[in-house]
Amino acid sequence: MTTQVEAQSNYKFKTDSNRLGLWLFIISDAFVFGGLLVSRFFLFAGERPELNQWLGFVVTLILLTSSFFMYRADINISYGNVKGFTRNILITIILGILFLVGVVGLEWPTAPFSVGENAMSSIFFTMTGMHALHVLSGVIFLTIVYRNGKKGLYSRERHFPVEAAAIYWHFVDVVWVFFYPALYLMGRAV
Amino acid sequence: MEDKGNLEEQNNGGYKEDKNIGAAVFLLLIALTIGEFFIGSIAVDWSWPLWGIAILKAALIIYYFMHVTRVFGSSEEGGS
Repeated sequence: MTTQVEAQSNYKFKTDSNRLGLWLFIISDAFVFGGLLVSRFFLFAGERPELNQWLGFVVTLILLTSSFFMYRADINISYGNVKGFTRNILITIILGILFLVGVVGLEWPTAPFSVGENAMSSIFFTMTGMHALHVLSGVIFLTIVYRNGKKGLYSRERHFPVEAAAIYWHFVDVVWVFFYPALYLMGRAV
Repeated sequence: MEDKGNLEEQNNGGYKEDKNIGAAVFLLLIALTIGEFFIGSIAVDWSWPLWGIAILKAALIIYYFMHVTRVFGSSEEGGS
């Protein structure tokens, strides 16, 4: 009994440390995206690229919806509902892939410039590319968590990897919350 | 046995509450995004309202979805 209590206490301590480490990583990663955002406004304060407005709007809705399902997956495992967790995380993965298809597969080929054509194209492809890379790594992370969930590795008491995947996924969403208006809505289209 | 029943009932209550909070935040995020889209479409020089909406949306996600408060007081069990 004492060993079980000790093991739980040890897990709790590890979880607290891991959580703090994850947030420190998130903050450091936020500086990278912050730098890109500042570069965009420094180079083109009152202008923006002429992009497909509807596509930008739809991919934003897709990413927000994926965040909602990730939240549900997190909540489900917190209450020990493994089936609900795997179902919701699978929907999140599919929506993440759809977002990637929207940005990389549809937006990039139809953008009014090519890679490295001018400063605006550079900042556009760097911002969306860096973000897409994070979405891709998030999808890989979620797939690993989904697979482990299917194997029954997570429970109500022990599920920190799910929480970590959720925090990372929501962070990617927060970045897009700022990138979407910065790239699609603010300034005069040129 | 009775304790177990009460615990399950509490869990179900908490689970439903957490699910409802998530749904409410999600709907608010969608509404703000639609508002953002229309502001961006009609007013070219209105960047401050767009910044305000983006900050509000980010705050909602960080507080409700990312559970930032867990960093200051751990709560592994029982959802948020």
